[in-house]
Amino acid sequence: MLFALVVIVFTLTRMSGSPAALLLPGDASAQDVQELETRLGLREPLPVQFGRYLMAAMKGDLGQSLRTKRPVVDMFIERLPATLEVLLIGVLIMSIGVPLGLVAALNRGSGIDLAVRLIASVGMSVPSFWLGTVLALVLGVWMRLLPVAGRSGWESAIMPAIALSMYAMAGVARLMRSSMLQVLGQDYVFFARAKGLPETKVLLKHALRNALIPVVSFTSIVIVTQFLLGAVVIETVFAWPGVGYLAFQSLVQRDYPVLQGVVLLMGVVFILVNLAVDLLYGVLDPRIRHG
Amino acid sequence: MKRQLRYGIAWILLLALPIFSSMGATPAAAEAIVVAQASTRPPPTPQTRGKEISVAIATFGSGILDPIVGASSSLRGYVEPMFDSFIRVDNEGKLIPGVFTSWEVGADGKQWTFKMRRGVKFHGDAGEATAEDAKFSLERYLSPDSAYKGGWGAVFDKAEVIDPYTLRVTTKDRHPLLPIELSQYGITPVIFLMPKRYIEQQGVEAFRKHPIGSGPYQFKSYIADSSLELTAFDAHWGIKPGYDTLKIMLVPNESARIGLLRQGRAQVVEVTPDGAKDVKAAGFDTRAVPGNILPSFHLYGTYYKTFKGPTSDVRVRKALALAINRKELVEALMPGGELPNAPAVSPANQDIDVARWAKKAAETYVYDLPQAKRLLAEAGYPNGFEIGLFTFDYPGAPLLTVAQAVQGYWEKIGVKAKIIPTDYAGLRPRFDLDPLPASLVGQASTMRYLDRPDAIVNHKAAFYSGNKGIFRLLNTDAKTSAFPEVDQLMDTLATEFDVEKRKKINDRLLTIMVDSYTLIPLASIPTVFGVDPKVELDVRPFSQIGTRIIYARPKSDTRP
Repeated sequence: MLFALVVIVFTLTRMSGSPAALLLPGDASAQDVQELETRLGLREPLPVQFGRYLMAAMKGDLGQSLRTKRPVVDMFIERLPATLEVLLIGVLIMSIGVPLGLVAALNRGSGIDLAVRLIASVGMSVPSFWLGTVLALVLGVWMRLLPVAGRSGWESAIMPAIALSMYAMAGVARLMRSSMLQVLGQDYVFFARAKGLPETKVLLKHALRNALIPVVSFTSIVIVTQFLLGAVVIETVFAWPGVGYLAFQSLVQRDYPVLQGVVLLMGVVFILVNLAVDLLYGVLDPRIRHG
Repeated sequence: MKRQLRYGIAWILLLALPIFSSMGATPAAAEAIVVAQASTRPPPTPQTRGKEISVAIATFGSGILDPIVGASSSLRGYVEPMFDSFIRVDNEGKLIPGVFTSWEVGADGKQWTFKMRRGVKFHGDAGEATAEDAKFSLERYLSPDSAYKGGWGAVFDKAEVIDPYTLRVTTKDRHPLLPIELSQYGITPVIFLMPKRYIEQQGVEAFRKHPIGSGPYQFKSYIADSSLELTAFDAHWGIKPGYDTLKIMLVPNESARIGLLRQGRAQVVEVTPDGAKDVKAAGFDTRAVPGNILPSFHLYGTYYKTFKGPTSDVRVRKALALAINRKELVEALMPGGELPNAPAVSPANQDIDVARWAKKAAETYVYDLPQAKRLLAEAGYPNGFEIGLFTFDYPGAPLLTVAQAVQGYWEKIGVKAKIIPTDYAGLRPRFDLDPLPASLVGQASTMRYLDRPDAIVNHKAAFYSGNKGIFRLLNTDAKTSAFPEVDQLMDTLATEFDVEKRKKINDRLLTIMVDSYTLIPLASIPTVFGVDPKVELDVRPFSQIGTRIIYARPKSDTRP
């Protein structure tokens, strides 16, 4: 899978234009462009470039930035904490969806249920970049509560985190509600109640644990699609110096090695997240653990 | 046990948050070489000195803190406060002494003698600047890493140190523009004074991590593609910095930049003319550098003898020019902008009778649909034709929306333009092919020119034979050129010192360019900055924010 990812990213970046055009002034001669491309190794046949990249990548060397001449891995590691900071706050916000969905399921048809469903519908419909801009306007410009751009303390991570996690939180709430409703109708819940277990224990130990399985599955997908990929957009909107912003700048500047490296490392994160989720299934469901 | 585990995980997550917050924010300074403060006694700081000023700009360009790398104009935006240009520009746009206090050219027009100012200090303990540093700086623009190797290499022959404060520069040909190129006006290349000893001893990589210059602000820290923090350099020979700290932030999103201004987290922000309305409405000041960006459109490959398409007929090209209502275009999409002058001519161009050409442009680029339709009919296209219109986004010039407007105007005369969105990096490589790829010949694109003190740089890029840059329009090959006179005129202009003769040559060149209808101007728009009313900031023609921010200071009447 990682190999396929490397091939796709390598090919697409080469098709998208030359970094030499951006590293040179607009009226630079064709000879200047050719010289720079030669120096950057971009005029070698693509299979040669790819082979060299692959061999180095297998040794853990993702190359150097064409712009800054710094190792890609160093740049990634330097930016990772900022992205993790937003991710961590985002995950906390996303997890609010669990109690919301739970409360809605237990109060099906009530005003609370209606409110949660409304929040979930809106949250899943609103594009993150739009939400980010609105948050910046309301919380940043009008109310002056939070910084609208840059990284100047933990509070500056709140708006990017909300913008990133709103979809996930709404999705979790919706899925939790429907999953919980489904589980509450199962025989084993009926049996647990029949044998006289306290309702709290029925809900938390028997119902919630089973209802969480699809939620965990959903979470693994949104962490990658919303938090990692969405970070490219949201970090740019908020000028947040994380991995997503690095990917965006590398794309704009056609900094091939950095873009390839970021996508490859995000691919690794994707695999690790999936692995973690698979392991979590086992924790939640003994049938999987002992199967 | 399980509960303890859960609490443990929760505490780890909470404790990790501030750790993540502090990680990664470590700027380049942490790993940079420690440079001691200047040993000279600082001059008294001005009474109006402020604590900190933050500037939010739209692009860092290459993002490398090295003057020889990266594309021209954006470099001045963030690098200039750290470095000195050799020659300064006064408020009237005249060249005045800077690091070079005087300059004279020999009778051959090639040998220049520059006298250097005594007491120009580099930051830290990098010492006093001498002619050796000036020579090293000029030669560094020829190094393999230089983005300007080709252009500067065609001009610069050699530099000789006559004595520690005298430098002799020899150009390959007569080159009257040399003082302009060494001044704050210089764009390609942007030439700054750099410390020879520091770079040779510490290496280029160390210099890029911790740049040392002689400008009024010195390097403190840099987070790549994010923010650059500088501190006042009180030992500067000419400028007393107005603030202890100057922070330059990269904020690509305009709404966020305006938000930072309104929050008081930035005092100067780059905005579009449209965004300037919001800035003014919020009670902030704006400063506009007039005629800084010149949106235009190009018609490519029209002079290939083998090309027989609609745009090979000058009547068709003229019709396309006449179909555009520039007044409406400017009012609707580029508020604060003005009607254009002649092709790639800005209000403060030297050696051009700008007022006369503005009048000529007003007469030429009129909105005349009946005439446009008639010209098309005469050329054999009464029902119009199809044309590709390439367009790309550019900070400060709304080229994408301009292309949509142009598409609408052309539709009125039956010309169906297909907008092809691209970006600069995607479009540029096609222009390096010879001949131009078929996908470009006969097609159009929106384009922007930046103003320069001497229009020849823009004009040469577009019209000089053999130029295969993105701007090339007329002469792809001198032998087949439709206008061999252009090459000859440009060669003469490049070596002519007499101002009156330069004006005459420019007149003839502009006549050819206007009549060719291949580079068709659309507007002349300012670069606009939103400014906190507590900040005193002047802008001048040609200047980038980095050129002017070094003069910014708090308004004395607003200080407590």
